[in-house]
Amino acid sequence: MQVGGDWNTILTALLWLVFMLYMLSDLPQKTQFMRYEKGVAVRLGVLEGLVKESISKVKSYLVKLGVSSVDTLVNSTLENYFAIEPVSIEPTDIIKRLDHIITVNEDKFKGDLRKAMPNIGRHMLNNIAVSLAVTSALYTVYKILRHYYLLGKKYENWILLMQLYIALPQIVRELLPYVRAVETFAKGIPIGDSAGPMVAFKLVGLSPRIDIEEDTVYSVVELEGRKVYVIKAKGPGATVGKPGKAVAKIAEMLSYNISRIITVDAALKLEGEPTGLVAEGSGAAIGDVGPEKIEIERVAVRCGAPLDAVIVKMSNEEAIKPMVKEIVEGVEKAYQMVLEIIRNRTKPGDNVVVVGIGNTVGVY
Amino acid sequence: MMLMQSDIITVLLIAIVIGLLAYLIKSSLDYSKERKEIMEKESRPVKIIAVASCQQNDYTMEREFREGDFIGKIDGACPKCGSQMIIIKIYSLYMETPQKSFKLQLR
Repeated sequence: MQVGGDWNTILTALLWLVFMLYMLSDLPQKTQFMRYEKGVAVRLGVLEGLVKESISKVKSYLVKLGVSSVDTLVNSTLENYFAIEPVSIEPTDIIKRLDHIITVNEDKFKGDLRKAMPNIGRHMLNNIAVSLAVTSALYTVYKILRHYYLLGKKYENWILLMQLYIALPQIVRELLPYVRAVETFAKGIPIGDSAGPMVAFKLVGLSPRIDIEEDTVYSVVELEGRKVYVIKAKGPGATVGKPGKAVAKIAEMLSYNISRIITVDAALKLEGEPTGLVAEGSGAAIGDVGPEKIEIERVAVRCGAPLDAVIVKMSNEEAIKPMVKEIVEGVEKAYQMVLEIIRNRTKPGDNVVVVGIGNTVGVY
Repeated sequence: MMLMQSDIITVLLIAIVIGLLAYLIKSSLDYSKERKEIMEKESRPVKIIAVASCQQNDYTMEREFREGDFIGKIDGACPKCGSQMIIIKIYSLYMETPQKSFKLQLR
């Protein structure tokens, strides 16, 4: 009886103590802060490991290709080549300015790579450029997250740490495919985003590719009396080309006598939607920041041509991972849909433009 | 009666304290488990398949992807008609990892 009574007294006192500490001190906040801090640190550790893995994969690939001063090349890529958005408060010619900044940055990056690897072919160079860009993107995200983590720790900003703690699991899972993507691009394996170029390939097969813009080609095929101009990035290296400018050039070449423009691209699916689902709509199916999309829209308006969009749905991860079978099946459906649009909505003798948008890695 | 009541409260309090301690240990172990789980999920083995088809569409062949393959690559001659084989599809498949089975194998 005595023992039970003692325990009871001790535990009651203990619970009272805990209750007082909880209600009258900032101990709960401190404990929560420690939990958030630890959770964020662990997840940042995972991310750091991923970045290091990605960097070492790129480096080992460059070493395999016989590139000298690999460390300098990779380190300079990770820190340099940022682009500053043009002034948007004055929107006049903003697209031209944005396009100029993007082009200058890309040219500088590829020029530096060419200097470092003068004996490497164009397609291989594109594969390396994209692998380095993916690693650089991973590193940038890591740096930003680390910045907020250290800031939160420095100023004991538990709200900042809480936000990171909540958001990090999703961010880490979304970044994981990027690590594998480095290897995928280096080996030249088609990814989910290659769905558009794959549809273009199915339309033209091995017909001759004619250069029209930087890293962009077109082929002409005859389909039941219609002349179909199929535009895609120049494969099989990893590049998206400049499809908008290519459409503008083709339109000029045809004196704006175009009956229909069909764009085919990979699109993000909503959670719950199946991978490889094909849908059709209106507008330019292209996910660039603006300069290429606006060119297609302008051409369509000038020609008075309907603008069809055929999309193959996939998740963000699937878009940069090696293409899965469901997407391959989606490509077949998208190809059939494009054929149907051409057959049913254009007349023999018409000029039709089909644009396979996306990264053409592993697709000729 | 009072004695019994106090014993029940004691047992209840002890149970609450043990429960809280168990939760504390479990939640701190979860962090270290998470890293392992993420890595395992991403490192599921993937097989890349290349499908080549004869230009006359009378023969299709599947094989594992080799570096340098791409869609549109001429991949030898058709064993049936001798025309060119072209790679038409490249896709990935998750490989099934063998599950440990403890079932008795009866013959």
